[in-house]
Amino acid sequence: MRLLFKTSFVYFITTALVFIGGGIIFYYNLQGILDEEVNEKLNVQKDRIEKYISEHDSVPALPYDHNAVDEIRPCVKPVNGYFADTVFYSKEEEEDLPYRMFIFSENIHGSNYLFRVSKPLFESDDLSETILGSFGIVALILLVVFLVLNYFISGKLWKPFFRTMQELKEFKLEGKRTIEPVKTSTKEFRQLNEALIAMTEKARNDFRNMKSFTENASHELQTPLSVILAETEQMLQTPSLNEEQLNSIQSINQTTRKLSRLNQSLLLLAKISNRQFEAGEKTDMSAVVNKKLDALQELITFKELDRRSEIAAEIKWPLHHVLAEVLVNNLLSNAIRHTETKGQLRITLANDKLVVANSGDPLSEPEKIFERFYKESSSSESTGLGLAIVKQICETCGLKAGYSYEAGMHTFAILH
Amino acid sequence: MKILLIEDEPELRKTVKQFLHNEGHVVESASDFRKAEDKAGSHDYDCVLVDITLPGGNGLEIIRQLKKNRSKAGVIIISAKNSLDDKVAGLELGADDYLTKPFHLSELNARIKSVNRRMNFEGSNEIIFAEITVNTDAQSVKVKTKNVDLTKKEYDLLLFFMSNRNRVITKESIAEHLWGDDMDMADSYDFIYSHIKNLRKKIMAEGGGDYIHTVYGAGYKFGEE
Repeated sequence: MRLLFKTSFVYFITTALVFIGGGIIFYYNLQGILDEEVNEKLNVQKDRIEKYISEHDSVPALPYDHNAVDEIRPCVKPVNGYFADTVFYSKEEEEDLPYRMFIFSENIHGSNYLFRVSKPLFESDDLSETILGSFGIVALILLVVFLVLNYFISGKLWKPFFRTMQELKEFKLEGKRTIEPVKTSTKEFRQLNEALIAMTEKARNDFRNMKSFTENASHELQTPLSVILAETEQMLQTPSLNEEQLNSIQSINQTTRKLSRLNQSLLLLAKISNRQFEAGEKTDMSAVVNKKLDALQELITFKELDRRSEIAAEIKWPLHHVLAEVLVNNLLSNAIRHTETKGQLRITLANDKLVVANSGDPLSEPEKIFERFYKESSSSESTGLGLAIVKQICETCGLKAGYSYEAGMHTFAILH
Repeated sequence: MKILLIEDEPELRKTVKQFLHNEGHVVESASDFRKAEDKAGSHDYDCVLVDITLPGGNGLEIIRQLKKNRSKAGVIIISAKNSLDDKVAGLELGADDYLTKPFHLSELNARIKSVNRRMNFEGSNEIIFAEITVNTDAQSVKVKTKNVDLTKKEYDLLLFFMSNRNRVITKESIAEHLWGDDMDMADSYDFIYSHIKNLRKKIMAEGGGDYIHTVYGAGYKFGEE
C-alpha cells in the first residue's frame, strides 16, 4: 500500500470517528437546546395566560393557533406545573407527532382550572437524519478533497522522492551513471538525495579500489611467475639430473603454469567486471563460433565425438569481440573436456541463443555450475573459472546464461 | 644473432639473458627506458625483445624510434599486460610479435627464430636437421629427398622441435605453442602424445631417424642422442 494512501486512510478514519463522535455530541446538545427553547415558549404561554387572568379575572379562550393537545378544564386540586411529552396523531401528516406539554393549574374565582398547553417537538428522527445527512455530505466532500489532494501531492510533492527512488533502482555499482541531485524545496528529500549520492559514490569508489587492487595484484604476480617458470625451464636442461629431480622440477613448472593461468583468469574476471571491454560494434557470433570449432576440430576428432552443429549465419550480438571469443571458447572447451570419448556434442547458434550441449552423467550439484572454483572432479586440470567467466561476461553484457540437464545432455544456453 | 633484451625485472632479465646466451646469441640488456633508448639508437641488432612497462617510459616508444631509424631488427614485445590495446598498438607500430608473460623460454626461442626467418628475406628459408629439411616458405618437409605429408599441427610441432634442438621441452609449452593460451585442458596432453607419435612415424617411414626423445618426468627432447 502506498505511503500516501496509508496516511490518507488513517486521516480519513480519524476524521470519520471525530465526525461520528461530534455528531452524537451535537445531536444531544442540539436536542437540549431545542428542549429548552420549547420549555421557554411554553413558559411564555403560561405567563401570558396568567397575565390574562390577572387582568380579566376570567377563563381565557384557547389561543388562535392552538392545537389538538391544548385544553382548559376545571379540576379539583391545584397542580404543580410540570412538563410532559406525548404523541399525537396528526391527520395532515398521517403519523404520530411528538408534543411537549406544560400542565399547570390556575385559580380563577376560587375554582381550579387545569391548563394544558403544548408545542410540537422537533422530531429526533428528523434531527438525527439532518445531522447525519449534513455530516455525511461534509465527510464525502472531505473524502473527495483527500483523493484530489493525494493525486496532486503524489504528482508534485512526492515527485523528487519517486525520482530518487527510480534512480536508485537503476543504479549499478559497476555502471557509470551517478545519482543526479534533485531540485526540491523539501528538506527531507534533499537530505535523502544527498545522503544517497554520498553513499553510492563511496560504494563505487570502494568497489573501484578493490577491483583495481585485484587487477594490479594479478598483474604484478605475472612477473615473479615468469621468473619461476623460466628458471625451472632452464633447470630442466641440466644434463646430470636424474628422473626424480626432473620430476620435481617439472612439477614446479607445471604448478607455476597453473598458478599463472589461474591468475590470468582472475585478472580477466576483474577486467570484465571493471567493464574494460565495452561493446563498440556488434560481433559476428557465427564467425567466432565457426572459428573456435575449427580450432577445436582436431580435439573433437581425437576424442571421436559425435558433433552436430547448426550455426546460423550472420548472427551479430552486441558484445566485445574478445569477450565473444572467450565466451565461446570456454563453453566449447568445457563441453569437450567433460565429454567422454565417443560422446555427443551439440552446438546451436540462432538469433537469440547459443546452445552448447554435451553428453555426460548428471552433476551432483548443478546449481553451483557457474560458481567460481566449482569443480565436479578434483582431479581436473581446469582452473574452475571457465564457466564463472562465462557467467560474468553474460552479466556484464546483458545476456542470460543457463544450465539444464535433459536426456543425458548437459545443456548450456546463452540467451540474447 | 645479436639480441637486445629490454626488461626491468632483474631476475627475469638475468634468466632470459643466460638462456639466449646458451642458445648461442650475443645478448645485451637494458633495464630502463633511457638505457634502452641509448642502446637501440647506437647499435644494430637482429632482434629486440621489449617490455612495455618500463621505468622512465613506454616500450612502445622504443619501437617507434627503431622503426623511425629504419632498423632491420625484428621486434618482439614481452609484456605482463595481456592488454589488447597494447598488442594492437605494438603490432601497428611495426612489432613482429607479441608474447605475454609468463612465457616458456622454448616459446620465446621459437618466436625469435621465426621472426628472424621473416626478417632475412635474402637468407635461406630452409631449416635443416640431419636428413630433415623444412622449407618455411612452402611449409613443406622433406626427409632426404622425399616429401613428407604432415598435418598443420604436425608441421608446427616439428618446427617447434627444430627451433629448440637439444632442449627439454615440457608438454605444457608444446600445448601452448600448438593451441595458444586459451587451451587449458588435460586432454591436450594425450593429444600431443598422439601427434608426436604420428610425426615420429611419418618421418621414420621415409627413412628418417628417431629424433624425438621422451625425457621421463619432464617432456620431450629433439636431437641426436
